[in-house]
Amino acid sequence: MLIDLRAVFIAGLRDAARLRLALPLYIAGLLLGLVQSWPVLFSASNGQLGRINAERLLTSGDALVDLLTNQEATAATGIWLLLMPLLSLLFSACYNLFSGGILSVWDGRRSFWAGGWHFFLAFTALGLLLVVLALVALGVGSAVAVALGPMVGAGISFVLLQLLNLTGEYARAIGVTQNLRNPFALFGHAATYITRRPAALLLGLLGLALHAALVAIYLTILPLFGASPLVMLFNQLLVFAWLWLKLLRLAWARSLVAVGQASVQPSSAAEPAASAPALS
Amino acid sequence: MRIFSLLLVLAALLPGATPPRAQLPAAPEVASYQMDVRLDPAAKTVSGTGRITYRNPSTDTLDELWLRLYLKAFSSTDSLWIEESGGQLRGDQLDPDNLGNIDLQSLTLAGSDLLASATLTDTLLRVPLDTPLGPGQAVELEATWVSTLPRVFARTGYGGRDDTFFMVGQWYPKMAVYDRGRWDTEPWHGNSEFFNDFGSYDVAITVPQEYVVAGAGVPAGETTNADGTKLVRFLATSVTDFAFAASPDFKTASTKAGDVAVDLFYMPEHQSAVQEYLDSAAGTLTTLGQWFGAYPHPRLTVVDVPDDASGAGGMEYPTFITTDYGGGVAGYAAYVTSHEVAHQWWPMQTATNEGAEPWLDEGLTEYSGARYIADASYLIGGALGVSARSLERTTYLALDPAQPANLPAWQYSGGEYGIVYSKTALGLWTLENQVGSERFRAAMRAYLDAWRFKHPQAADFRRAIEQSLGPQPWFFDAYIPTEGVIDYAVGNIGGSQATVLREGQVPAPVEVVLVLENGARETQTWDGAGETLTITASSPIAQVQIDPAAKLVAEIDIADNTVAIRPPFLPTLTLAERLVFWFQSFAQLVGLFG
Repeated sequence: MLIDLRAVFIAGLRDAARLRLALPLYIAGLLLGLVQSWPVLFSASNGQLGRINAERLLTSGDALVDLLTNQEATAATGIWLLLMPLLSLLFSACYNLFSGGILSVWDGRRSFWAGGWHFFLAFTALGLLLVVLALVALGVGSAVAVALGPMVGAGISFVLLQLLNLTGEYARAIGVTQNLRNPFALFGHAATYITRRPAALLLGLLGLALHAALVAIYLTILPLFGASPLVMLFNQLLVFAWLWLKLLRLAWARSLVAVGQASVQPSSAAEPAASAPALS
Repeated sequence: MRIFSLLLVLAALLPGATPPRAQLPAAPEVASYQMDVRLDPAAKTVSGTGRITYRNPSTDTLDELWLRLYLKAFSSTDSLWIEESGGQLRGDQLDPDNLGNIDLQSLTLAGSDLLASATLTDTLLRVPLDTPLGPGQAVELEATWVSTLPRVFARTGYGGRDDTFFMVGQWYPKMAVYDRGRWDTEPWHGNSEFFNDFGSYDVAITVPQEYVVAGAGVPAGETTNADGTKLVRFLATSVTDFAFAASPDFKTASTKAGDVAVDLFYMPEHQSAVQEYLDSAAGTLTTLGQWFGAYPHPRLTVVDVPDDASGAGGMEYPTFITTDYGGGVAGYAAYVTSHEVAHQWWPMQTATNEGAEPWLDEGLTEYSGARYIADASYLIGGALGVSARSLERTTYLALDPAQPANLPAWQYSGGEYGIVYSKTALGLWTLENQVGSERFRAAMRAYLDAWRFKHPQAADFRRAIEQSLGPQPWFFDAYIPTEGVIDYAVGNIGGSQATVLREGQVPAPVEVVLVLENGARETQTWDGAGETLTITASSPIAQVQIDPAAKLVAEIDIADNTVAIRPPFLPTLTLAERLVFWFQSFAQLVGLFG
């Protein structure tokens, strides 16, 4: 099947350009981060925020280490570290909810919240399946590392995890586009889809390169801020840009799947339904 | 030319200028070795013959000699060394089915057998002399031995691909040290590594032709034999030991540090760390040379070890170090490398007794390596990693900081021994901050100049440092030898009066800054005497900052050093954002999977 990759590329960009769709996930991450950090902010400083040395904190990350290694703050630091994975699970749940909504809005058949809840359980189950497969991939990587060396093992792990990540994205896109909710079927369809369409791999690689470039740009520019408080805005810009690139990958996946479906079912919506309610 | 010569002379007279390597005096030849050995990769043995020339360095007459047979420590799970170490190092476990040993088959003096009257205790061989050895007199011992290497779990042995990697350290009959009227007859302990005399080495090593040999000293020729082996020869002078590594898999890379050649032998799978190894090794050589005095040898050999032989990594011998890939974590290879290179000053130039006074060895080395890593702005863990200062502090606080740093090595358990490294390093770093880097480095240079190629002890170190810096009782009397820690805290602030508390036992001098409500700043230095300092400012106080320049690197609790009447908004926001940002980065990395 011949696919107009340029059209898919542009359609994905156009979908992703609706930045407000990224806001719920961004806000969820921000709120969860605040929830996680709150105990440390108080406990690490013995409940007195006045004990934070402004000058050193702004000029060196070491001051933060000092704060976290403070004896009275050990418990708070432990709580902070413990909360990190737990709240990340909540963030993952948000992703499972909001990704269904975002894809549904782009697909044009359901509203954000209706689409989100419609696919929530299916995408959560898909996420669990992906986690299990990711652990298997890491196991394979470890075995390869023992046999062929750590660099080869790490490389294998990285490739397998990226393939799983891409498969998950296409599983979500196929689920919304074809209204499927069986996580195993979704994964199987997506795996088959990716192996048969080089365009999917190409767009996946492009997405990976963009994420890598984003990190490189961040690390290059970061030192220029020095002790300026503007670094806070820059950090948040990175967080939002990373999130947006993820949505762009999803948008490309949906466009590619929709184009393929449109060639079979002419009535399907390859174009995003601009009239669909976004965050109603 | 005359102006050029004058400039050279002026440069040599500048404060901090150090004599170049060529101008350093040679070490006394106390224990020198000429060895001809063969590595048998299949049998895991190094066998050979050697001539030990020992010159009595003392004014006493010696009626016995003592030799160290280090590999005896690996010969039984009941040895003192195995018992103290628990048969493990950095997670690598002793393989009880592949132990090591050294079989001293003959030891003669002028044709007369010495073994018949010798007695072996643990790793120490006492050899009575028929004819006492007078001051300055020398004897030549002829030895034949077979060293069986253990599977690597600590410092020496074999491992790697098909067990073809060999790290050969502490492997031959070695003279013990006679110093200050006595032989050092302390057995080899789990925590200690060295106490050696200076001398020269001429070592010929026969290995299979496919093996690449990384040896200490400088290469002095290679010849191939008809039986598929080759002989490589190394020469070293003004050194206290000789080690080598061999593997058919070694790749090589080189760089220069001034006129010193840095030769790296690395495993192919660790290619990604090559530049970091070379940069950090050359950088440490150059920087510590400028700070403390020149590295006195023409070559440094750096050996990267296989992952399954990591117990051989992170070890120092004269002109030869092993380092650690550390899973490829950026900055870690540099951290280990710089530490091992720093050993080329302490104890390779100041041959201290590591067992009796480990802080003069590992402590000074940890300080020197960490200071280089900090000076070169390495972060352990890459761009988002931690600085050497934070790593050192975290290590110190993770241990029990309330321990002396100057106990003999055998008085620490394996887990506690890290305090010798971190407490000493942070204390010296604090002392450097107190007196200024230039003055401190001049003091360290004076110590090295006074004791290069000798056997200094802690009192000698103190004398040299205090001759340069003046009395430093907080460091030498309160910090190093006691359970004392450095800790200050802000007490009360009321109007224009504030109190500062010394909560730690160590009265280290400290600066206190008062930020007044009118924006003015008033600074006061407290010598730490008494437990409380009450300060009265010229107007109401808005904030009290203890040690605002963070000179007290060794202070255990820094979080209570600053108190403001009103919580500062911007730093609080910055801290919150950083914590949130870390969470967001982690959550998005794992939570957006698929």
